[in-house]
Amino acid sequence: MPETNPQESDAVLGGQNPSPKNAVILGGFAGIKAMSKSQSASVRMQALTNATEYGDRGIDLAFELLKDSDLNVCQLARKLIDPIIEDRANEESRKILSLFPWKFIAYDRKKGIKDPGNNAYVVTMNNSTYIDNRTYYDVSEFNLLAKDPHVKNLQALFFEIDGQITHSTRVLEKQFKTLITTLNDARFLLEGLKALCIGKRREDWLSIYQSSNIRIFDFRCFLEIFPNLEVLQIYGHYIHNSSQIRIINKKSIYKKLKMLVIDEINQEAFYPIDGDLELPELEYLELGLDRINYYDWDRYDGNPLLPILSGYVTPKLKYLILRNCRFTDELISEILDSPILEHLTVLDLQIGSLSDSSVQKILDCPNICNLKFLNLSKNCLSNVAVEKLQVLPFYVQADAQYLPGSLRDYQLMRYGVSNE
Amino acid sequence: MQNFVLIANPETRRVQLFQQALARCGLPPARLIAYADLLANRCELAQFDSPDTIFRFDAPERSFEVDRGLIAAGAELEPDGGHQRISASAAAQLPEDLGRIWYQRQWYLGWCDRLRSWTANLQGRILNHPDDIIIMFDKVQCQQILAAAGIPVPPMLAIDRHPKSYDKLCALMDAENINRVFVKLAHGSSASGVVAYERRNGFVGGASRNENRAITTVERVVEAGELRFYNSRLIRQYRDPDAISDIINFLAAESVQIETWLPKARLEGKEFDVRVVVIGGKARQAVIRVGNSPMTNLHLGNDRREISDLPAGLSPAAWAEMLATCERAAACFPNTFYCGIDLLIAPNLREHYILEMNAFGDLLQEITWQGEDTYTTEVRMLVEEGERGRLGDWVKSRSSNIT
Repeated sequence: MPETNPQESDAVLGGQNPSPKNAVILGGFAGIKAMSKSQSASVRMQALTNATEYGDRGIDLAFELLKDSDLNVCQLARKLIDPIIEDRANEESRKILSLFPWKFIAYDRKKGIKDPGNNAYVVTMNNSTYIDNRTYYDVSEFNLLAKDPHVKNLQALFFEIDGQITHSTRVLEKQFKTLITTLNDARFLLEGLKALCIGKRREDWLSIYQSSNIRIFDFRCFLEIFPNLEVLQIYGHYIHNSSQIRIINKKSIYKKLKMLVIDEINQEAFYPIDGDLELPELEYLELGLDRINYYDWDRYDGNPLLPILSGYVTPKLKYLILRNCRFTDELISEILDSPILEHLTVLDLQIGSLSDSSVQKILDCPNICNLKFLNLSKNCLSNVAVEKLQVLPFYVQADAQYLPGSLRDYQLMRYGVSNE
Repeated sequence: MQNFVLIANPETRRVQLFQQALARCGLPPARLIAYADLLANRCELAQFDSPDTIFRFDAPERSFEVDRGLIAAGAELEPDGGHQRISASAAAQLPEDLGRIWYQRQWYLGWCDRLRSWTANLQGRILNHPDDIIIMFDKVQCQQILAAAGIPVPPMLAIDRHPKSYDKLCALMDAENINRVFVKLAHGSSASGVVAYERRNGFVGGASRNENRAITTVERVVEAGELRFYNSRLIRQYRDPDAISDIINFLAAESVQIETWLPKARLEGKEFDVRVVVIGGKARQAVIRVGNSPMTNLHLGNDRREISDLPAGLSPAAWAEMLATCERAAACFPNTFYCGIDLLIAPNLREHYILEMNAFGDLLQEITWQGEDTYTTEVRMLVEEGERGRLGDWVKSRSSNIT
């Protein structure tokens, strides 16, 4: 039976008046659509209830009614689409996970490299040994791995940096050089490497004291050594280009890289001073912005991430995670105007300073609807603002907002003075 | 042999490090007197006094019980002051609220009063002398003394007519044609109540634009109509004039130092300054503080660097001159055995300014000078002076001068 034919449960057209005895019944989805435009909120709610039987078109209708003037209609629409948008968000999470399918496992010489297709092997470089009053970087764990008979099959490596934090630029440069040299010496043994993680993960992203021990002078160094890398994760913090370390002197195009994580970047990362940077296949970019300071923000006329937001460096970017930003209002304003929003499916701005003043801009942005997941957790939004964001047709996570008087992570940033 | 009496909050790192320094120099541990006990009159310093006694006051830090006691001690003082006030009995009931900035002026008045009272008529030597401590806890007075002695300090705004409000600050800035200032709580430390404030006038897209920006450690909280202010390691930028006004008005009522916000030299692309510890008249340990914001304090997550990392363009002669300036600044306080000085180096790597002096600014962990940490240098010098039977260039504390 054609779906426009009336069915038993279909409503009768007639606006607010009782239906005439011989009224025409507009059935099927067309009837539902018509009902959804009724002036009566209860009729629109009935339309929503019935719409669920019409698959994607019904869902589309529910999305349309998310912005209904009546709160009950909005809430019902939200209820109907919640499972759908959750599914969509979960699907994106699965896609992200598929970019890094390996499980971390500490390299054990006795066991060797057993399952390189599924495991990311972890080796440690420690700097806490002193010989002749000099810091000695112990790369023996890596050297053992390099001698493993199956090292050529290795796909994923986590080079963990441990030991004491140093405060000398000279030592930091030496540490970085040691790391680069060690990896460079083994480049032919690790030709199959697809994923490289460097540094030490922070257990608590909010803790400004838990910086990784390694300082990074240029992430492109790793990609020059391993041009086939699909994943590069750096848990260290960027410092200003060193006069001692100049490795890249050309336009840098890395065609294989799909995922890039840099724990703490600074303004230098995407403004290489010695040539353009292109990451044409990059899908996932995760940056910790806590080292981006107000100087950097000003220097680049608004945003040190402009090369990324322009879409030129990363034309296929789908997942953008910008954490620990002190300028989230300014940042989101630029993202909303950015062409990358046409391709993004996940935008994660958790742990930031986003305030209510940005909410309307988000709601008014047409391209925001391309997202499947927006994470605004641990920002500075009020309950009212969080509620407003629920009209967005995708999954919005905005929990653990900093609210005065409540015990939130932000309060952990408060300190007593030393009275010195 | 000297007997050391250490007045401090017992649970702090400073106590542990000072006792370690004594042990390193072969001395017995200092007798530890808790500020809380002195405030509660559970003991008095006269019990431990003798001509051979060295009293070391350390920072009254990280104890709300002590803060509460000092606020209570300041309740009856300066009754005509425009600062936030609370009675002694109410102060004793204040609930702890970590990081909250409140009753700062009253705290300072209580601190001055108690310091003078505790040290009256002591025969022993006092490190540092209370009169100097009191001045160094007042940024306005301290900078005036330095300026009068010809020590380079950032230009101060309207020394004798401190604004008590944001509007007055703006008027002062207009009058002096200054667009960038630092506003600092006069009695604050650890970047508490510090605001780097700037105004920008310009044209964007053909339209005139007036922008204000306050970069600060101050967290402004508005809840149920109440305004509260906290110290936060999360540096905030306020652009809303009402928010900026709230903060400046609050700080100004507690007394503020206002000075020109001078540019600093850069290291690794970021501005830096240097904390120099002067002990016994000589600049010793020093550390570079590389800032992610105008506030370079290390507890804010800023990076530290060793002095060997100073920019190559900074000549040894210029650096020696800067250290000499620190020593001259310390000499303005002849009864001070040690202090921590914040030194601003200008982008031309020649000009320099003393930003602040800290009476208890000698805690520099992991930083050494000739293999010694600050506390060990201090104790060793005191031991050597004791062995030589003289007091050095700084004079014995003059209890008779304390009123």
